[in-house]
Amino acid sequence: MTTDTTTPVTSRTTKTHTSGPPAATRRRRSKAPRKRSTGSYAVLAAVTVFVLAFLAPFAIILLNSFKTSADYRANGSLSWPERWNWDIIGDVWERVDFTQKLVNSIQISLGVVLIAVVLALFNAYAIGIGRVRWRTAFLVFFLGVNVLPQEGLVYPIYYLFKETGLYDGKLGYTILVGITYSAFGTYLLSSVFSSFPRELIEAASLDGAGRWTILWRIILPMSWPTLSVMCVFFFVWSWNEFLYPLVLLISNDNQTVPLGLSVMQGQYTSDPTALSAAALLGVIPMVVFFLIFQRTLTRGVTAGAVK
Amino acid sequence: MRSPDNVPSFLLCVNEIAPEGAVNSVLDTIGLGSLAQNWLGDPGLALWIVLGVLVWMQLGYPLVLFMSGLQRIDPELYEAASLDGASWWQRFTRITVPILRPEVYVVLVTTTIAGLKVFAQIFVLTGGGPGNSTLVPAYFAYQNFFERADVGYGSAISSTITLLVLIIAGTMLTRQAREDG
Repeated sequence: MTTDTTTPVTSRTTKTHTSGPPAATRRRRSKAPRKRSTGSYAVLAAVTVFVLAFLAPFAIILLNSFKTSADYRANGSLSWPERWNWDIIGDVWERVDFTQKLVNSIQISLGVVLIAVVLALFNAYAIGIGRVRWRTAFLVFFLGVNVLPQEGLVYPIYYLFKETGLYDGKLGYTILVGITYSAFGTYLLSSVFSSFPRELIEAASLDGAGRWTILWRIILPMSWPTLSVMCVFFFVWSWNEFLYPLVLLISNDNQTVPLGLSVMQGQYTSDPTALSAAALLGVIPMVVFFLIFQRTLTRGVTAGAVK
Repeated sequence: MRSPDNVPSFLLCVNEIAPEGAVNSVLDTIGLGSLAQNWLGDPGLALWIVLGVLVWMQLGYPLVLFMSGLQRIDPELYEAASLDGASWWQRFTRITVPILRPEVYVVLVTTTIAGLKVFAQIFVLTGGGPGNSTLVPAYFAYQNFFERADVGYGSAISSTITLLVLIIAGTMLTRQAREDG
């Protein structure tokens, strides 16, 4: 949330990687191997226990999703399933109409990413590179939008959507979330662009490049690391969005994955295996997404957090 | 500035702490069966359970942030400190913590704001109950807006949340700007 940029963060990290830690570990190993070993084993054990405790819930729902209700009642939640059956998962999939929910979530998230990134790119081009007048005021405005909690906006937006006929439509919702995220994107990209090497732009315009050419041929390729982080994050954020879709997307055909699954909790509290299966279905897309974009995600978590 | 509202994870938690769920089974297995209970059904306990779930959800972000901050620390500092006879604890409190101060600050502010805005967790886990024991402002506002149609009351609540969040965020930003020079 400062004027920091992604690129410096990464470059700093890689720099310390190459110069600092290797030397440190070498020195540490040679200096005090005996004195450290018991302590470091204790730390390792503690961390292992911690990680297992952190992951145990996932293992347990994995087990329970494959049990029949009878098996669950007889053997409890910790036992190995008597046999792995997919019935419960298939059943929940159908009851929730998970295919439809997945399609909705993907459509909406992709739309949000597209709107947010494109808007942010143009905004930031004007503010960071173009140095438009009142740019500080614009930045403060975007920052304000970014800080404003959804909880305060949800009713006015609900009212607006009702009046304009956008209520319970994926398009209106996508535009809304896209624009909300573009405020954060503008803020982040503007600070990246404002430290962009001016010589490059001047050189390009001397060679006769117009504004479009500069944006597409110079700015876009060079800010790609930041843009990719933004794309991945906007996708995850929009996937997990809960309050807005709860209020704005009420019909079954429009609901997103988290919403469709949250219904399960109310209806099937007495059916633990179904609830497990619902949790599992909800967790899987994000785990897959994390495995694919692991590097980008870990790089992006720190983006714009600390100077 | 964004709290992870991951509904599937809450569902997962509901499952673990249900009366027949894994937590009680574990307690039974290790011989503490007397401690097993309906975790979310007890008004005195439900809020603490929700808090535990929130901590479990939020843990990842500070972890990654601190880890990236640690890479900034020059190992020579530790080296010099241990040559001067500093213990592990002294090195931690005198070197690591002061250097990680910006991260600590960011984590404090973001988690505080996330805590103020808690909604999905309550919606999925408890619905504000039992009684009103886990009712939070955001959920209370939602109830007033969409369940009781008492828009004025809901607006007052949500405006208050907004104001609080803006004040906290504003304090953070001005402080950061001042420290940057």
